[in-house]
Amino acid sequence: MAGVSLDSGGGGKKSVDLVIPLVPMIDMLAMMITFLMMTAVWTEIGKLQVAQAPSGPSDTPQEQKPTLTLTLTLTERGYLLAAGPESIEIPKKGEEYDAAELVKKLKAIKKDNPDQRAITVAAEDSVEYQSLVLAVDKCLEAQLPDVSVTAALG
Amino acid sequence: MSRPNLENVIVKPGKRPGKRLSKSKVFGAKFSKGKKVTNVELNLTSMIDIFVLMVVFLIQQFSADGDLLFMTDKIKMPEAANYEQLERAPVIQVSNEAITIEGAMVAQVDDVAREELWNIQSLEEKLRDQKKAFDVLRQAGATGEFKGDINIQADRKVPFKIIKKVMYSANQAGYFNINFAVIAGSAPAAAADEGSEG
Repeated sequence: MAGVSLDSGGGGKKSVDLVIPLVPMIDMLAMMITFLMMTAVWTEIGKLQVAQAPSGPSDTPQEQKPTLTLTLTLTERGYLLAAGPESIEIPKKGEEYDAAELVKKLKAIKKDNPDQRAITVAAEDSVEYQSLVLAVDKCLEAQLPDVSVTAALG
Repeated sequence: MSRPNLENVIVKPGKRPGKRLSKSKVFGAKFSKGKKVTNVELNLTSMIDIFVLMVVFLIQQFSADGDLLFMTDKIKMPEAANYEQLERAPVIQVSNEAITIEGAMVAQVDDVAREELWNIQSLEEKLRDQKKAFDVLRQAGATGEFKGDINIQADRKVPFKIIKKVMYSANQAGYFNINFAVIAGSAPAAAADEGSEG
């Protein structure tokens, strides 16, 4: 058992031995470790906030500057990015969507239109949820936070 | 007259090895008369140090986010890098088999996929009930405001056709702030490179 002996130096016979009770301390630490390991969350969970276009609420009553109508459509062939009258097709790389190319294009659009915040992500029915989430994630990465999700027409 | 050396002649009665055996490394120790130390001390200081470090590390890791969603093997959530902190809201779980809200099953995915209608009637009703319950609680004096938040915890392989219908039903029931629950992931290297170049 751990203890601290302090020599008073004088002739007094008062014991000043201090014993730190290590056993309950170890018990408590062991219990805490067990509890914390049982309740530990090893996977961090987050959220991507989206609105449903066109019926989503408009919580921003402030005056909005005229911006580009930006639509990203997910098809079986790849991405179709429509910025106003222009549209760019980003085909798939093998089986995967070319997310890196999409970010590049979105960042270029954002650079030309710094006030642009909104983008509509449309997807075909057969598109997997994972691909939709990837597209939304890339829009957020390109500083386009107002993402609306809708179904692709046709 | 010299006296004989008695140390080698007079020995203590009992078992004793022969000369060769006593020199043996294997068997010699059996007849060793040396005192073996049986008092083992635990290094308590280092043990407590490790315990304390583990407790500090685990407390840092501690998060209540896991309680917001019920993790199940049937739902493998997608990853995203640009996520926000998840908040408490009704959870719609969409696996490849069923759609549940707060653990209660409301529809089968196959049935929903076959249906032509955009809304899922049972889901919409459940969500309306939840909203009503919230209103009743608020009238009873509970604090908080209805923000219309809903968390969708869907499997990564679920087709958008199902998600679309879930979102539409939520919208019809008055839940406009839709959140996709994701697992925190890191940005792919290619995208990160692009970002650094730009």
